[in-house]
Amino acid sequence: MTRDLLVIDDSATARKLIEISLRGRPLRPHFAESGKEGIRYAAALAPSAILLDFVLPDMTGVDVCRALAADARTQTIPILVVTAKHERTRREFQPFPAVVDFIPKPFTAPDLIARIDRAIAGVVSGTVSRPVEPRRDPTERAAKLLFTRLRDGLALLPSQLRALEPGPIAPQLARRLLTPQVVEGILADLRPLYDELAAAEAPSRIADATPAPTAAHDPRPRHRPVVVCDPDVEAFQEPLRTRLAQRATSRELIAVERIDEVIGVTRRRQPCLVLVNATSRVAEVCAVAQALRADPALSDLAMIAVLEARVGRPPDLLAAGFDAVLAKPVIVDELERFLIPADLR
Amino acid sequence: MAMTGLTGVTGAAGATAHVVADTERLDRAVVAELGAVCARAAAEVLPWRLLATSKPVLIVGALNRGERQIPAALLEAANARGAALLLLSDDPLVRPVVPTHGGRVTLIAASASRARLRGTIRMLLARRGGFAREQLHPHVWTATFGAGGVQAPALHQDDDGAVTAVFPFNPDWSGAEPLSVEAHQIACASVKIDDEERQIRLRELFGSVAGMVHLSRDTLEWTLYWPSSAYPVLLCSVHRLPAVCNLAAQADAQVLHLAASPGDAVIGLSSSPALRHRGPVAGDGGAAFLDELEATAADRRSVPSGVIVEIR
Repeated sequence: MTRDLLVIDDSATARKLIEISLRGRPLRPHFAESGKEGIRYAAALAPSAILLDFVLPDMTGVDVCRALAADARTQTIPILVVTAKHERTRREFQPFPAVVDFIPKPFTAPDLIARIDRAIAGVVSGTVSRPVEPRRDPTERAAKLLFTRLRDGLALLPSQLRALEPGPIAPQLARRLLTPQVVEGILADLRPLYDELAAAEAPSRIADATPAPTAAHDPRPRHRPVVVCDPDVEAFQEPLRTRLAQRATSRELIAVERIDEVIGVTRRRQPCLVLVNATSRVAEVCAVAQALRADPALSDLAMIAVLEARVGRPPDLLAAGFDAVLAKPVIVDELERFLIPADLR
Repeated sequence: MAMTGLTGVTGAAGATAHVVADTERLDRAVVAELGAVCARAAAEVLPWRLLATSKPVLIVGALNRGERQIPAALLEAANARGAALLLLSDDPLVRPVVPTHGGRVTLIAASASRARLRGTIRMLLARRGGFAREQLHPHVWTATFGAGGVQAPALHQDDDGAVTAVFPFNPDWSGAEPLSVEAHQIACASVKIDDEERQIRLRELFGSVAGMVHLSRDTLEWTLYWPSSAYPVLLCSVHRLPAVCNLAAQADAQVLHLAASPGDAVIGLSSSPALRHRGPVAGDGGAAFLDELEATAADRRSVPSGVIVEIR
C-alpha cells in the first residue's frame, strides 16, 4: 500500500534528495516549501507522516508543530524533524507528542526510509513512542560536525573553483575554505569530543586539566592567555582584547606596559602567545626573546614581533627566536594562525 | 507593490539605468536604502513584476536562512540580462560582504550595518550618475573624488588587474594623469628592479609633489610611495589591528610594502577628515567612508580630494 508523505522543506536540494531517497518505495512524497503551505497541505492531505525541516522561511518547525497540534485533523500525524542541531532541537519539541523522531543532517537514504517506516508503523500498531536517540560514536559525531562546519564553504565550491586563478589549487582552496573563523568553529565543536575521549582513556589527566574556578561561569573552553606589550592601547591592545573575548574559546589578554616585565609575567602566567611591539627597540626585544627561548618550561610558547611597516623585517628578530614578524596594521587572520594551534594543546 | 520613496531619477545623459528588486522578499528598510542610493546613481528601482520590460544593471534579492543556491528566477534574470546580482543573506558570512562568481554576485550578511549596505549598493552602481568617478572590477573598487580641477588624482589599471593611484600633493601639478602609466610600470616591475632602485625611480618621477598607491595584480600586496606626512593615507579594514592606520607618518619617502587582504581599503586624502565615527565608518568599507565624507561636508566643493582603492 502506497502511503502519502508530506515533506515541508524550503531547500530545493533537500527536497530533491528526499525524492531520490524515496524512489521505488511505497511512499508518495508531497512537497511544501514553507510552514504555512505545509500546515495547509497537512490538513487537506492527512498524510501518513510528515518530514519537517527545523528552519523554514516563514516560521520555525516548532511553530508548525504547534499549528498541527491545534488542529484535530493533523494532531496525530507522526512528525519527523530534520535538523542539524540535534540535541538543542530535541528539547524544543518536547511539548509535541506527535514528534516521534529526529533525523540528523546529513542523512542517508536507508536511514531515512527506516525512520519513516518506523514512524508510520508505530501509528498503525498504536505504539508511537519517542525513541531514545542512540549515543553516536564520537568519530561519527566528529565527522558530522566537520561536515556541518564546512557545508557553507562546500556549497560555494563550484563558484570558487571558477574564480581561482591558475596555480597550486590546494593552497588556494584551503585559503578560501579553511578561514580562521571556520577552523576556530571546528575546534570549538571538536573540543568536547576530544575531552570525552580523553576522559574515557585517562580520567586522571582530565582531573589535572580541570579549569580554574574563575572559569566556572564561562561555558567555553578556557585556554592559556595571551601576553601583549604594545604602547598603542586604544587602537591595538583593546580591540585585540575584544576580539579574544569574542572567540569560541575563552582566552585572557594580559597587558604588560614595560618590555622588561615581559619575561617575569610570561614565566608566571604561562601564556600560549607573547606579542611584542618591537618598533624602535629591536635590540631590547631580541634580548627578551632569547631569554624566553632559553627557558625549557616555555618550549611551546609562540612569539610574534609587531613592527610599523617602515621598519621592514629585521632578521635579528627571527634569529632571536620570534616565530613571525608582522607589520602594522596587523591582519587579524595572521594572529589566528598562532592561536588556533594553541587551542589544540 | 507600493514603491514609496523609490521614484526613479533620470540621469543627465538621458538613459536611466534600472535596478530590479525582489521586493516581496526584501525588508522594507533595505528597499528604502536601495531607493536612496539608486536616486544618487540616476538609476530607477523597479519591482520584480516589471522585470520583463526592463534591462537592469543590478538585481537585488534575498537568500533565506539555510538557502544554499541562488534562486533560479534570479539567476535566470541575471544571466539573461547580464546584470550583477546582490543577495542579502540571512545566514552569517565569513566577512560582511563576499563577492563570488568573479565579482558578479555579491553576498551581504543581514548583520552588516546600514552604512555597509549603502556602500555596497554604491559600489555596484559605479560609473553611474553621481558615482561617475568610481569603477568596479572583479576584485577591486576604486574612486577618485574632490572638487573638479584641483588635485585630481589619477588611476591606472591594467588588464591583469593591478591598480596604481597617483595622488598630487600640489594643487597646480598636472602630472598625475600622464605619469600614472610610468608609475604603474615601475611598481609592477618587481622582478626586474629591487626596492632601492624602485625608490630612486619614483623619487625621480614624483619628487615630493605626489604620492602613489599600488595594488599588485594578485591583490596580495600594497606598495606605497608617499613622501608627505601632511596628507593622510589610511589603510582601513575591520580585519586589521588597528582598524584604521595612517601610513603617511610611516612612509617618509620610502617605498612601503604591506601584505594585502580582502576588505582592505587604502584612502589617500588632501586633508584629515573630520568624521564623527571614523573608525567604524572606515571599517564599513571605502564606499561607506566616501558616503560619510560627502554627508558631513558642508557642500560638494568642501569634500577633500582623495582616492580610494579597495579589495572586494
